[in-house]
Amino acid sequence: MAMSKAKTLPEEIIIDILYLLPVKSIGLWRCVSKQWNNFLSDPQFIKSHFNLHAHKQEEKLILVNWFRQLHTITFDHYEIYNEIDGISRKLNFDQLSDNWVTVAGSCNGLVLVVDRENIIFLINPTTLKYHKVPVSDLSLPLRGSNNRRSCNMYGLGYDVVSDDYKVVNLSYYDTENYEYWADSFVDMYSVRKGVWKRLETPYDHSLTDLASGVLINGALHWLARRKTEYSTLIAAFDLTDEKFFELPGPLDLSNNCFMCNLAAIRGCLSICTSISRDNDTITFWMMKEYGVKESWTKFKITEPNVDRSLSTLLCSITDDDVLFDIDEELVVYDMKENQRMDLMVDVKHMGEVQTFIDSLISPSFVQETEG
Amino acid sequence: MSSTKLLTLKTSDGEEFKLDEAVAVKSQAIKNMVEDDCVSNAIPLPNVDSKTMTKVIEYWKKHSEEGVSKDQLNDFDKGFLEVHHSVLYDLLLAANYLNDKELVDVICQEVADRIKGKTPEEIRKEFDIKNDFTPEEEEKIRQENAWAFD
Repeated sequence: MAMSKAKTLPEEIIIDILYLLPVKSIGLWRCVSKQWNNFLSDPQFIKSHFNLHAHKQEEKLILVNWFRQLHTITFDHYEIYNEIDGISRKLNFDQLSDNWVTVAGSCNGLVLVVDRENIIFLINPTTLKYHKVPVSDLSLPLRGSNNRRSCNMYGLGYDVVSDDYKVVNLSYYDTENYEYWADSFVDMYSVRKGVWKRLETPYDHSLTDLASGVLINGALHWLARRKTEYSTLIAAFDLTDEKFFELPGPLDLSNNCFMCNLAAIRGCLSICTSISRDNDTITFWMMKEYGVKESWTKFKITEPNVDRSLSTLLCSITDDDVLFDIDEELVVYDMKENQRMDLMVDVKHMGEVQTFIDSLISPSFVQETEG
Repeated sequence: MSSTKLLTLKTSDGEEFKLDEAVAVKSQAIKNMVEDDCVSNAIPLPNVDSKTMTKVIEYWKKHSEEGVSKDQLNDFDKGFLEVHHSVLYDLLLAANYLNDKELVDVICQEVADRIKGKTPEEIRKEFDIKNDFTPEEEEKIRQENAWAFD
């Protein structure tokens, strides 16, 4: 049997081939020899490999189930009638117990997860590496003065300028008796620096539903309100400038239409809205050109007798499918066929649902090797 | 339109191939030689045998054809790459030597698709790489990358 000719391939060709391998294969190659382990563990390789694959990756879902376990869901491409099969897999982390509350953000294959003690972790669901985000001195205690409960919202993003993953925490004390606004705090954690710092927000974040920041274009987006007004606006936190700015909502919002929740659909900022006279319709909008008010495009889905207060727009799965949480069930809409499909999956989710892609990106800051 | 100048390529086993210059310059190496004006006689290609050169020319000709749709090219490429892995590596080495980046990329993707499930032992055998881990080191690396093994 002739010896493999692969051994005559020059190293730079082997490297070209490695860049084309999927994430799992890189893990296998790391076990081949010391040289390849060093090369394939280097943050430079990891970043370049990620950039090459990011656009062609399949999105998977990640969520916490009722047993407080973390599960991922991959989709079976074979669709039968009105069903899409989802294959769920429980994630097990070294030395971490299953005490999760919700997922709270996703970026470049890293996912933010919150546990029952309000500790947040940055995890890579593919490589199972994790980083426990240190508790901030600035974070609000569970109960403040007047015995008011503290509330927290999170967001995760990547600052391309400083090559840094950042976690944003919006917090406030719960307002009871319908006081019209409360002080909101913004804290930001830099993975590279390993520290939290307090920033400013001109908005009141306490009067909208708790939701994780939606990451689009290097900014995290939340619905918020101005401190003295009643209407909701879209507040965007720029991860590089570390400042808030505002985005215009859809052109067609009238008095009877409210912005309910934000989501990223096919890379576009999207809003699910509630129009009080539409009982059989879920309406959502996609901002096709970021920042351009006129580019808001309306989509309608027919869902008889839907309770829009229980409908949350979640994410897009393929080019045509959009995922909703309707009364705690995951429902997929095929926008092309205008058809509702049930997601057949054996996990019941608690809290939010995020999408992620396979990557080698490390959740901890790894010093790059010189040269 | 440039003149249909014919170039002669001579492979390692002495066979000669006549080819339109316009097609042959898909190889950056040949293009450089043409520009440096050293192509009066046959261009020697000592690192490519005639069997491999035939395949490369087949690829070049198809990708130079007019009126071929992207789908047709994809179908051609798929069939073109359905070869035994030793032929594939010969093609890759030739494409690299001839400096045809497009062909190198296409073949690299095919190789990647074929080897992606290989275990570390299979990889070492295929690429003749020495295992320089101590048993303890190897155990540690495998643990760290256990996620890749399921």
